[in-house]
Amino acid sequence: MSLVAVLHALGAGAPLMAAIPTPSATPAQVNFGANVIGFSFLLSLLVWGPAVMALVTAIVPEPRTGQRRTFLGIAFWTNAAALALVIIGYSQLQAYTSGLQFEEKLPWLPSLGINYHLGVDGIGMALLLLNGLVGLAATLASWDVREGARTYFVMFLLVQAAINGVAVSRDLFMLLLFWAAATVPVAVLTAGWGGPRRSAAAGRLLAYWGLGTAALMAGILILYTAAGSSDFDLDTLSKAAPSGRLQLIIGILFAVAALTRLPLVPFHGWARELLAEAPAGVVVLVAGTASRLGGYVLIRLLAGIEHDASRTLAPFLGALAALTVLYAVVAALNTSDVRRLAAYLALIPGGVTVLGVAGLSPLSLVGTVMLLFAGGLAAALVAGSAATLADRAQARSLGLAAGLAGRTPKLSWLLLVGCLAVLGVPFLATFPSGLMVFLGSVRTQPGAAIAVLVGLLLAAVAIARLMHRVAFGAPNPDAPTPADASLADSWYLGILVGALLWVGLVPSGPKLFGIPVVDPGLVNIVNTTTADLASAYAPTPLPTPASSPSPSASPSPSTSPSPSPSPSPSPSPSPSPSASASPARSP
Amino acid sequence: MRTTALAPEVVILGTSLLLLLGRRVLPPSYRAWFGAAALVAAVVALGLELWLGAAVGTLFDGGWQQDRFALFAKAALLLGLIVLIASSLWSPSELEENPLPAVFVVAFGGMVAASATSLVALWAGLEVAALAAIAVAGLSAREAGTRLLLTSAVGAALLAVGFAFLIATAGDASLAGLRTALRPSSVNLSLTLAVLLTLTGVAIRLGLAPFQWLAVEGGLSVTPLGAGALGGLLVGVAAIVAARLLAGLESVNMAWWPWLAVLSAAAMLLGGLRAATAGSPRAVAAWLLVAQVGWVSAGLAAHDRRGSAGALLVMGALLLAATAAPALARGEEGLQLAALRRNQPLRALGLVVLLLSLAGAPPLAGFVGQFAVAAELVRSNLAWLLAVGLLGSLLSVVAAVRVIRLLYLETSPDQPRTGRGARMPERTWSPVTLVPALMVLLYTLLANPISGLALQGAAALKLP
Repeated sequence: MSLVAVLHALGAGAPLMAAIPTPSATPAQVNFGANVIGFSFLLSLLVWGPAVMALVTAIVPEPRTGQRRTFLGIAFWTNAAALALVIIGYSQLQAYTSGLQFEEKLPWLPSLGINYHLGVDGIGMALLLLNGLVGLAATLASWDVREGARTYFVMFLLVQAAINGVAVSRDLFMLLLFWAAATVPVAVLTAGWGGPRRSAAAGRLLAYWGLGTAALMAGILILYTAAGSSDFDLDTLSKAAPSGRLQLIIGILFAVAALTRLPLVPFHGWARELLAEAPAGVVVLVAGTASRLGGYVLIRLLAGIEHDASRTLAPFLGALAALTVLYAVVAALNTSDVRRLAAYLALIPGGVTVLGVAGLSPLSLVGTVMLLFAGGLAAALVAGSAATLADRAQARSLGLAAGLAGRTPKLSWLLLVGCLAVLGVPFLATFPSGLMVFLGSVRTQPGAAIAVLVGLLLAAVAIARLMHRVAFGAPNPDAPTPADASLADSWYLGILVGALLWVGLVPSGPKLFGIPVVDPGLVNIVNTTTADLASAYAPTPLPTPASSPSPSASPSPSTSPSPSPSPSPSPSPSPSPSASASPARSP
Repeated sequence: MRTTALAPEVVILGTSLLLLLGRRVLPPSYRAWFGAAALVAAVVALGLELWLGAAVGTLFDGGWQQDRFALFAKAALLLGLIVLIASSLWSPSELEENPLPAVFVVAFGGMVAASATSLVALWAGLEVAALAAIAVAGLSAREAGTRLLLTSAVGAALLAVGFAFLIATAGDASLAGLRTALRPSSVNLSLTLAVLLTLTGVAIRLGLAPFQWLAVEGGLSVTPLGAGALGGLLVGVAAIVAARLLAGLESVNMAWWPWLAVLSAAAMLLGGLRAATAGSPRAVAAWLLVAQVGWVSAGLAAHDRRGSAGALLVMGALLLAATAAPALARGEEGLQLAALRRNQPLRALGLVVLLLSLAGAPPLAGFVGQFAVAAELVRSNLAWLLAVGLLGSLLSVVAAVRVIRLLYLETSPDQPRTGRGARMPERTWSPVTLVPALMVLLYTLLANPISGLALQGAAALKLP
């Protein structure tokens, strides 16, 4: 299903269509890195590399005085290498093939039906790329960690290994394993290096993420049992067709798991505490990628497998999305703590992501996957810059941390960019993805979409208040003297801003004489996979007058009531999704 | 079947006797080598078991049998024994009272129970193991030993009465006879009461809440070696007895599985709850053990082949972690733990791995076993038990994180925060303290063959 065709079906105007990135009309040519590395173990390297380096960090001898950054160095170079590998994998990914790539499959526990099955498609690659970028930024954000640096970076690398593991797991046992494995290290990082309320933050994290893990485990086991399957492979289980009631139970369990991680109201308690108390590096990592895993599970397991349950739950998800955005804005307007305010703002991309899933249209689902990436960067940027600003200003209160634009110009402007990214302004990656989500969901979930839109308008007020006080207000003479961003701070925030701008400006990748160069384009990478996933939710075309009035030609009651003139979606990966886009664009 | 199949038992019993005699015969300077000799003997016994135990058959006119269940159970017990002896090597003072012969007898009792074909042999194996474990515990804590003996006696009496009733009902003491004689229609009030008495007797040895006195209160009041024998080896022996016994009672499962499911739920929840609020790492380990025993019995409560295989898988992980955890935790608590991290980093790391495995945190051995049990609970329509178990596991992980926090995130009193040239306390690197953790990791890595063996073991129990 072409995005533009869907947009036509929705009746959106030409200006909006022009703003939506479309996949390239021709398959990508030779890109940077293509055929340079043909790893059959690329994904294993991305998952186990950080884990092995965590072990190395744990056992290397204590560095001498003056070499305090040894552990930071290990983490930095591990992340840099991982990012380089991800970029090569991203460049080599066959963007117009919907199947799994870089696949690895070995029997692990055959007696329990568990395989070591890794593989990546467009959605997983977007998450890997996000984790690569955010991981590097989070390492730089941890520049000032001196006390207990060894433990800090061991936990840090374990979290990254777990996140990559979730992104590439094709066996649901492995997915659960990695999903749960991130919990303890994040809790330890928060409890060890957080602010005054760090114990409460770590406790809440354990409670909420533990609940989510239990729900995910129960959902997987019920699906496994209902399918009568002999293994936990995602490909096998996705073909199962449990009864309606069972599917709804599984869907609710998957949704609870996802919403505790993303997070959404009423499962957001941990995020408010953690993003306000954890050190900047942990905040960037959690807001940027660890929490995005919730959106990933929502797309992959709920929308991807349980179609009927998704349709049933869509209104509730839409309502929760709207509630989350509105709650975040109201709470942000009512707090006087700059870090808490940023923590509330960081909830907004999660809300918009869930709106996209609730939209259940091809366009909204592509937007959702894009927003996993862009929203992660935006949340990491706003929460991370606020954490760094509060550190540098030695104050968290809006009363004390005021009028900083003149004294900390870099941090103030970077915070502003983060806030704008949360709002989804043009030229930033959140804009095209957010636009796709809204246009894709406005027909199916109009109330929720409008409520989220109103929430975003109110968020602009909260951001204006924040920036007015913190950046451009009158400085408080009693406040401690602030310091601007250090070189490491500038770099880590710069990486996040740069990625947001890059995808915002060239979501389809830059082209030279029509040929993609350097970057195949995130929208191309995610589109084919998502189109396949979304084909179950595409509007069914009306039978043409010439067609026979057989019962099979009548539209399914579960599909959109308004028929679309667009061609029926084909799950076949072979045709380029943009092939049908080109004619649709010419009026 | 040749009698050479009994070689592992002979090695275990022979070592026990030699260690007992050696103390009387050999000069004191040789005693320092007893621990190492015991370790070598245990490793030899394990090797023999894996080599000779693969042959299936019976001896003594069917009174002793070697099947895949016996192979798995004995191998797990011997692994636990190795870990327990290895963990005693880094605190030689514990060996002064010569507890090792009794430790070997615990393992011997378990081996007898694993190969038992009758209720009498099951009872004898369990009682021998229980008495020996209490002897290990009581050697250095006489008063606690007396209390443990009384508690164990209650369990033994319940078991004896229950077994007597079952033998009278079936007219046969053999497990095969029990299976043949008892039919679903045989379930009546008196049989149900007898089965419940039997199960309660086993639960006392197994440490199932609310009968966890032996494993927890007993374990906390004795030496780490005694606690390892009570909370590790004896619990393993009791799990073996439970698996064999419940397989014999399969045809009347309606009489016992609801009671076992309730006990499992209580253990998982209470264990997790108490672990999350416990003060010292040793108490945390003891309560985590209770929670994990709950998972073992939950697997058995599913009363089918895959549930029992999951239970065996958890039992193996439990034996490795629970036998060594008391020795690694010892008596340190609070800020002393931060000093432990500084002064004995490998011991601290080993303790963390064991606690996380006991808590069922991924990706360690405990998690793999618990997942297998969880899958079977859903299949057996015991979703409520799974929900309780997951809550217990969540609380268990919270407990483990609390210990990690004390170990790694608190500043010890002797740790200078700043200042160059400040003198640091001497650091001890004792790689042997990492052995149990490495065994747990190895168990995780080799989960494939181990789970296959567990499935074969459960199949040998002739469960549906």
